[in-house]
Amino acid sequence: MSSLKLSRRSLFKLAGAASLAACSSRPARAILPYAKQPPELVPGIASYYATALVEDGLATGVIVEAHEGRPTKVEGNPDHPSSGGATRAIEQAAVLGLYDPDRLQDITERGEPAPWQAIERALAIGRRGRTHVLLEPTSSPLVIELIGRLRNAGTTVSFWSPFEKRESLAGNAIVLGRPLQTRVDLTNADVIVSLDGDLAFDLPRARQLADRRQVIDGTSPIARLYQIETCYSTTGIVADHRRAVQPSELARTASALLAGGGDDPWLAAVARDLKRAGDRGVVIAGERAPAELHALVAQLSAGSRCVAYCEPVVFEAGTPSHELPDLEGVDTLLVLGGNPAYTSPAFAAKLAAAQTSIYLGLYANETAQACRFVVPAQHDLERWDVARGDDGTLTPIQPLIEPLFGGRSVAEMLHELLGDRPIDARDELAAAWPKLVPAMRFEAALAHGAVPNTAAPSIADAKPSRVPINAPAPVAIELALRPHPFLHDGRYSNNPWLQELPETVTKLVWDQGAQLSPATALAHGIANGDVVELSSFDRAIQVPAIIVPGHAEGAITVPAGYGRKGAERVAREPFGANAFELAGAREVRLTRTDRHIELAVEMESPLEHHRPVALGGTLVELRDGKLALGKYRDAVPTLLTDMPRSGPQWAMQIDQTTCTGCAACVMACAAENNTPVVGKDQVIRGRDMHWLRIDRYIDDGGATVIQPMTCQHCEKAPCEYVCPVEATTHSPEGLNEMTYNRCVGTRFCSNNCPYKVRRFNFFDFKSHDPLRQLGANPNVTVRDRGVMEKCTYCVQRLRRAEIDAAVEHRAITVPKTACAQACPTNAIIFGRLDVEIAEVRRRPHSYAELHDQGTRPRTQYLARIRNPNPEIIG
Amino acid sequence: MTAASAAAEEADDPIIIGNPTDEQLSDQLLSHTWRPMSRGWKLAFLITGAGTLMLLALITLTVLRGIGMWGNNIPAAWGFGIINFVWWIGIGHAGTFISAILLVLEQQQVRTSINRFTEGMTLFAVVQAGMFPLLHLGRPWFAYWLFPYPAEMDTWPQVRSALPWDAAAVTTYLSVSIMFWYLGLVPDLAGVRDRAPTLWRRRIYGLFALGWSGSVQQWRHYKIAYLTLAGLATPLVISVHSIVSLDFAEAGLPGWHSTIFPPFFVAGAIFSGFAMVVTLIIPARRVFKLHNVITARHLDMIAKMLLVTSSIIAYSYICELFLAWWSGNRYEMFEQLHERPFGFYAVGFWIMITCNCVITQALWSRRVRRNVVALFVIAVLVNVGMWLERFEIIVVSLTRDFLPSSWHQYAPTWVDIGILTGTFCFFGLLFLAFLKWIPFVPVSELKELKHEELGK
Amino acid sequence: MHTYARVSALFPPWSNTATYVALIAAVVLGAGALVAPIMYARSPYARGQDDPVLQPIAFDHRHHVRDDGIACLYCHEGAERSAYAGIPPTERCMGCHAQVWNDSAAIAPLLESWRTGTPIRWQRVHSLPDFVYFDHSVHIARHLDCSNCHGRVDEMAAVYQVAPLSMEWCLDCHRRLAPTRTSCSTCHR
Repeated sequence: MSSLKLSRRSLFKLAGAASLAACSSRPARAILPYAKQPPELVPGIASYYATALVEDGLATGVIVEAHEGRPTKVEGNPDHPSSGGATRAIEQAAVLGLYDPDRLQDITERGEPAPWQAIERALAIGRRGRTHVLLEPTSSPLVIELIGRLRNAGTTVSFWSPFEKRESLAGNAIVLGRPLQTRVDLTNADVIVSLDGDLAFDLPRARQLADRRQVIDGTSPIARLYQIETCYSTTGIVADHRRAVQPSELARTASALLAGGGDDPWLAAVARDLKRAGDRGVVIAGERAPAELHALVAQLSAGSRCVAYCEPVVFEAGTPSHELPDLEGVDTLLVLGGNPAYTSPAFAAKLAAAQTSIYLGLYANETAQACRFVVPAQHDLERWDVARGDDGTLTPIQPLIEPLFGGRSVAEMLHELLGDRPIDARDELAAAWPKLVPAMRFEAALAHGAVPNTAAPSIADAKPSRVPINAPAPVAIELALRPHPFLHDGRYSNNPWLQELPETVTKLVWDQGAQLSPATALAHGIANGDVVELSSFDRAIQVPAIIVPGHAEGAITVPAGYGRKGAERVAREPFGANAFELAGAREVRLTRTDRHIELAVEMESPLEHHRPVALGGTLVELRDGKLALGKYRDAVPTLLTDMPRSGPQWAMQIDQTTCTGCAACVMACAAENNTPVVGKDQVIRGRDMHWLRIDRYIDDGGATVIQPMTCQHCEKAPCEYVCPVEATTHSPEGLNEMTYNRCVGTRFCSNNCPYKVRRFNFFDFKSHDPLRQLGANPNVTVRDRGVMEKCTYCVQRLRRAEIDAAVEHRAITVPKTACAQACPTNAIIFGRLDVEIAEVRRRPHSYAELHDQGTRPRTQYLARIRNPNPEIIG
Repeated sequence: MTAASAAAEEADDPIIIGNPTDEQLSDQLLSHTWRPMSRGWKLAFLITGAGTLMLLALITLTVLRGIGMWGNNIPAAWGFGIINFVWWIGIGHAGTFISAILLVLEQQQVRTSINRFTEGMTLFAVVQAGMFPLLHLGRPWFAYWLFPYPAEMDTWPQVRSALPWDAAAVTTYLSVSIMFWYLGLVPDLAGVRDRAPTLWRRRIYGLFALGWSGSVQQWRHYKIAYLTLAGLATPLVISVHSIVSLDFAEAGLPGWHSTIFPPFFVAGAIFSGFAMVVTLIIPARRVFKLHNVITARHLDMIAKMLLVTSSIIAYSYICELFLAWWSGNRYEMFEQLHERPFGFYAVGFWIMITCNCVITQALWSRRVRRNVVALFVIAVLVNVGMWLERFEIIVVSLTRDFLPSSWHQYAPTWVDIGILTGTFCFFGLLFLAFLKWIPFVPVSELKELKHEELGK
Repeated sequence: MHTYARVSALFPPWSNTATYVALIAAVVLGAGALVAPIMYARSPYARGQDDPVLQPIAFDHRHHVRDDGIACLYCHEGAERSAYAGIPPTERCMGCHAQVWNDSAAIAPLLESWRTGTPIRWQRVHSLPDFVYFDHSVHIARHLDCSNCHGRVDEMAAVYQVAPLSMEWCLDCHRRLAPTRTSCSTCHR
């Protein structure tokens, strides 16, 4: 038969009919193998490279997964002290930032495309005249060396980032004499008093805190955390005791603590607790708190073994070069990175003063629009560099991909300004390496992603002196200007993943929300979504208000990152205003306007409605066996038959005590599983697509609990028996599988899911942008419209591990799900029911969510255990 | 009123007024099929036709853009689509109940003269209903996966789910209804064929009359087949809505997870079906001047049926509330005792109670039952109430289930409302066409009944 | 009698036969409409079987495998480690063809690819939907021979698909040889 066909084929070929109508229904598809295949690459096998993502000069070591040269997923680097294997949501979303179609793609002069020669000419002129270089804070030895050469040549250099470490260094300068960097280590902490500190997003500290708060059965003590803050942060959720105060009240609180608590019984109890803890007690302050508070906190923590000081890791941090320059008489201004025109509206006016301005950046943002020349920069995943972690650890940065849009690096621009001959970035780094680190070969450092033992040494003689600090007077409405937990100072505002990531306390997405307490809102007649005007002297902004139970009275928290006016399409979408307009203002006037907008809040009801949902108790109750969570654990009778079991039995345990609600898991899940972004309108309609959500419940007293919620992989899954086409089934490993290509979209499964963790593609939500598609995980189907989807326990990783084990004829290496891998506190544990999970599941505070529904979930929870100070009631 | 006088009144109350000859009956009941259309008819066709086109446009939009054009979300993954489905399929129950069950029970007196009408209503309601399960799918082009066929994927539908049963039940019901309706029509189609004035009309009706000649043998076969189909259709009346109710009862959702659902749903279906019969028959009776064959006694009997089913529904509501309380289940109690009567959608609940259980109590009065306007108003309100019942069951349960974190309000979109309106128009269009071109009063059966009744 | 005459005038005498034929045809066509797609889906045409694919270079497996004795995995070495068996890079071909037949017109596109560094556009023979995550390596590790699925490629002048590559076909083997690997997420994720 086939030979007959062949002869027919040959005949046609002889006849020269090259384009034949195929004898099959399949359209022809080409395969394009490499002409020269890189030796380290096997198509279909992911490669992993260690590199780092840099924010305000500080590197977080990451390991990036790449498929055939496309970076697709960022994981933390366990060998890097700033990561410890974990990431924040921001790092997880970096891949989407790389493949951003709004990134600058061409060199422009006043908006018109220009050749690189135009920049060369401008810089050549700059060499001769008065030139100023404004950089983002940096810790790169390469760049620091170039800065030295520039200064010798008469160029002035300064650094700016709105939320870099500034106040803590200034505060330390008051009590230590010079701006030293505080180094907190909670490994041995027993009592932690945090004054507006945000531990959740400080990865090493979050991990240390979690390690100190591991609850086994209540018999061993755990660290106690007090949080005194203005806006409800996730640290406040985690804390055993929390108090909401105006920002200016923080310094008075610290003074009172220094004086043993004063006449405030609550503070007195805290002070006694601190004293009892001795050198295992520590007081920390948030970076946004004023220098005075940091000075007081340094005094409070004097003698604590948890606090040390070191020279600032960021170059010249805490010195006047980190203030915005006066551009008087500057001919040529180079703005290399950052977005000062947005983060400092006062500086925006000065920008025009420079005759020639050159901006190097990723986006056509406000600064790019104000500058004459604009040069596309390199994304962190596209560049060679070296930086230091928060503790000073030297971190090489290597690219995962050639610059997508031919971007330039900061070093390249500085070289050009110095008139150096062009040098290959890798060669430059490799050449400089032996001088930087004699002990470790360049290639070894690249593979490792961090150079061990390069942390900045602690300064032993740094002892805070007692300096009297005057606390500021209280005001009627005090402004707290804060970086957004995900958008930071607006630099990530064009990342749709981060825009659609619900902020844990407010559950707000896409829009700015000025947070205020219910009482303050009531006093001003403000309801959720009302647009309020905040004014200070002649400056005013209009932002939508969101009421947060537990927020300090007489204060309003405004997150930065909104009111973006650049050319970035996503960043311009949210409703909001530039909070930096009010930078420096302490007291603001709060007035309600007539406008109202519908806020996209991902959770309608904040209450638990007295249901046993997110369970919890105190350490003492647990120890004394009074928690009695057994009734939320035992299997209830069922009519459903048992599924056949074989292979590893996968399960998950989520610890509500150590979970900080940082949402890194949510973002990691989106990055791993190709979940789409749906936009504000669809979120309001109730169609968000996150497979993992962080439920937060506020009790009648304003206290908040959180609970990560995703598919529970029920052994008796209600979704399975209602699917008419068996698109959702049970695997022998206990997975509740979802077969997208079999789904017809009746949505019955979602109706019958008691946890409502299934997500439906109501529209064609997937991205059609070819650039965005490069970031998709090739091992997970991109879902079409009309199909249901949900958490799969990262089944692609499980299958990978199984296949690897089979191919190498060995036992399986238990993989981590994306959420568990990203978790900074190891609050999510994944593994086999009888091995990795066995011990945690036996703990007395392990429980099954909605256990009375008889679902027998494979994912179970460890109840939230608080460790309250017995002296403090309530 | 004494029992004797009531019985006497009943006897006075004929099911056919006067003593028309067969010829007169034929002329009265068949001539509308060939009479030219009046302006009013044309206008009605125009309006319902336009509405049908709108329905088609909105269906196209939904299929092209996705189910997101509707208001559905997570948690309310079902919304207007399934509400409309259950409502329409419920309406589609009265027809078969009247024609099949009453035939089997030999209640020709009540049945004849309205059975064809109700069968038509059933059929067209099932057509409306049948669209929704298909349309509400995320990927309607794979709807055939719900049917068992030897797939090259080696896959089968899941028999534990109510949905394949639902698909089977609805398609069975539709096909049996069509056959039953059509078989009954044959002698009357032949009647039109024989009386219609123009040749092409006679030919068309002749084609559909399948060569009916009215021979004794044909009548014999016809009677056997008709009774057999009635026998087949009878259990379907019970089974279809029972299976529809399992779409809910099978789930564990508070407000759905209840063993009373099958009888509760069947009663509700017949209730809403009878209400729709009244809604349609009162105007039709007036337009076609059928007071002599669809008499006050017919309406009275339907009204009594409404009262009976309304009482069953009221009992079911009380049962639901009692069972929720008796179960001690916090989710059921919250759903039934708090959310439905006092929650976000409480207005719908109280309108539902008023329409389905309170207003119908007026039907105890013979005067109300005999008052055409009052009866019509009550019937329309019952239709509204029964639609809201499905809304309460589906939307309130879905939007307020176990974890408060997943609660989310449901609101229909303009497409939802447009499609519901469109189905009214499409139903109206089909019904108007039915009234205009098809003998909607079974003339042959009526003649038979007349001879039996008057011959006594 | 009068009535009878009117009826007979309506339709010609053959209309009864026409009705019977129409009814039978409706039944047959209806059944056909159900059965035909089921049969079509299993046809070699629909499955893309037995259809030799024309390649940009008339690469002959008979010569390379049977005559030269080159093992499958020499060129498709990804099959041992990766999900994809892979098509060898131009470099691999040039390993030999830099020396042998390097002036043949038949391999001109190969030399062109080597010179310019642009990939050769080979035409796909075995194509699975994107939602199927087939992995070559684990099948090789489980000692399946290439020919189990690909047939005797060493006897093909131009490669064609031998197996139907339908889910039924995959499952048939899995149920016999790997009964615990029949859950959906084995292949779909």
